[in-house]
Amino acid sequence: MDSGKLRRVALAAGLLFCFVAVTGCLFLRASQARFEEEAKIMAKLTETDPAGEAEFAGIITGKSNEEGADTGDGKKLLEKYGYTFEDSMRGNGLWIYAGGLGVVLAAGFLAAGAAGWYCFREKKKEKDRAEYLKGRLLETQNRSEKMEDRLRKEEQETKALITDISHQLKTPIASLKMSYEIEDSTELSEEERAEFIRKEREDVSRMENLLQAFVQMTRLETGMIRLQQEKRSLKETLKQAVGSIYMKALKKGIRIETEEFPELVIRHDPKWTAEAFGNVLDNAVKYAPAGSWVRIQVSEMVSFVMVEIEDEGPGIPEKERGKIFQRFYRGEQKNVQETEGAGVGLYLTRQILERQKGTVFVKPGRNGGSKFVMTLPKE
Amino acid sequence: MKAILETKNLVKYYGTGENLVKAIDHTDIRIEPGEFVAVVGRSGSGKSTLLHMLGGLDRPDSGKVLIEGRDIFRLKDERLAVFRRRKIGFIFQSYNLVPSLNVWENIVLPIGLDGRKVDQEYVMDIIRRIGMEDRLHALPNTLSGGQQQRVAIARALASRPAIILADEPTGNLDSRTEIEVVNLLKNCVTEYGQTLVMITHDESIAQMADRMIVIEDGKVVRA
Repeated sequence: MDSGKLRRVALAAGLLFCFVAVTGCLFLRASQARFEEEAKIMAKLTETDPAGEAEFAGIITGKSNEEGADTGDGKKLLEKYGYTFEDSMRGNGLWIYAGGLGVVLAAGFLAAGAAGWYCFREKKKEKDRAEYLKGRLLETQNRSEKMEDRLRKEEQETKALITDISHQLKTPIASLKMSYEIEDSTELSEEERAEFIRKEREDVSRMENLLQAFVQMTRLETGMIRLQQEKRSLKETLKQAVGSIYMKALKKGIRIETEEFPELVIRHDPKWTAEAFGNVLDNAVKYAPAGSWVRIQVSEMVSFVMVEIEDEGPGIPEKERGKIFQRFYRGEQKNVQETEGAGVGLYLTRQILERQKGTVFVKPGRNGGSKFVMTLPKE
Repeated sequence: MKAILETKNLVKYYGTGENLVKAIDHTDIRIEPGEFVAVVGRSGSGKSTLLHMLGGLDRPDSGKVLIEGRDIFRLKDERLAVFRRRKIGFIFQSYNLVPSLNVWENIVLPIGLDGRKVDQEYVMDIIRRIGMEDRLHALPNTLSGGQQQRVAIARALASRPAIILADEPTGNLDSRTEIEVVNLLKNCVTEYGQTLVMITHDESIAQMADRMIVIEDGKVVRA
């Protein structure tokens, strides 16, 4: 039995005891009063007729052997001298005892009612609390289940990742190997040799790029990197992102235009956020035709900052828009398939922004290109 | 993982004969706890009807809706109402705020109606997250559309429901405010481990979800 229950039982027993004690007292007092009344009558009767003492005692104690005493006759006699039932009720103080008993009963009922109400309220409170806790528990459960699920998925994905990395690396390695073998076994002209070397360089740089993307992804994925959110200038972060693709853009004759925007200091991880923007910019430069433009626009909203990057590239078909942020997803169009890439960049962009409570999505741009809309919370 | 919300062979038709509209046509969907799912489709594709069924606002012709494994349409109306109040938070396109109550009163109103005590700390946390802590005593008509929808979001979240159902929550907002409101909503449900099902016709907004369910003529065409 817990202490609360014990206390309640003790309280109930105490109340019951009080009730019995008070009722007992009243009963005693009432009996005593009646006894005194009878004694008085006995004294008066003996005084008027000392000879009848034994008989009177018999009547009062109820031990008289005389049968057939008629209550009706007695009543008539009493009424003759003006003593009625009402006078009797008024006279012998029974009222006080009845009243007392009533008060005790009422108090008892009141106490029981109060106790009941109190219990009900406590129960309700407990029930509410239980329900609340149940909700919280479920919430936590959901979160941990989601986490578990994510871990399981991550494990599977890591396996897939390794397979994918080896697969992607196979192509440039095979090409490189073949190139060397041909060089070894065949006499080549100076021109041909130069061409082979150029191809080999391309293969090596392709492997380098792939490896870099994979390293970035695995670092972020495996939790080796925690995003360090600090109050920093968004402009500086954007500059860093633009810097990473500037040479590529210059080579392709792509103009990068940025609309003037006020200095915004927001909590973000400058290095990884620059990577997120950089990946979008890199795609813009990679797929857009030479001589086109890429436009960067920054604007402040109520709780978020919005960064929009628009290009004049081939655009993304509607049914692919939801998929491009998935890991290893690569567009189905020919120009995407022919361009080098591992399907990592935009996936990373989304991860980096979402981990900082921001978002990214894509919509069609003005000249058939794409417009990536990214947000980051101001605080 | 166990599904938190599931439909099994759900059917709802309106009208008869030539006017028969198959609003929901033998639909099976499955949503896991903590997911943010966007239901996308053109107007008239049956997505609103689906959401009403999911929330127990309307009974289907046949089929089941299971919430945490329990068939909600086997509950009597009053029990269903209580169940709904405790488990589901609704956000509609029209904000449905009570004009004579201020922001705080609007937010805690459903908790009071349910006879429960307000978890002040939690509600204040939501209000801070949606950026309305300075407007607690403002009346709805002094707020912008975006702010009113923020209040409606806080109201839906305040009673800690396991599931939030949002029917075109940003339909009345401009695209910038829309992005902001959905972003906030997403951050809140992630923080509190809630499940969010949001109906929208805007595919760019739907991209913010973990998953998209595309509905056409009452059927799931892509999940």
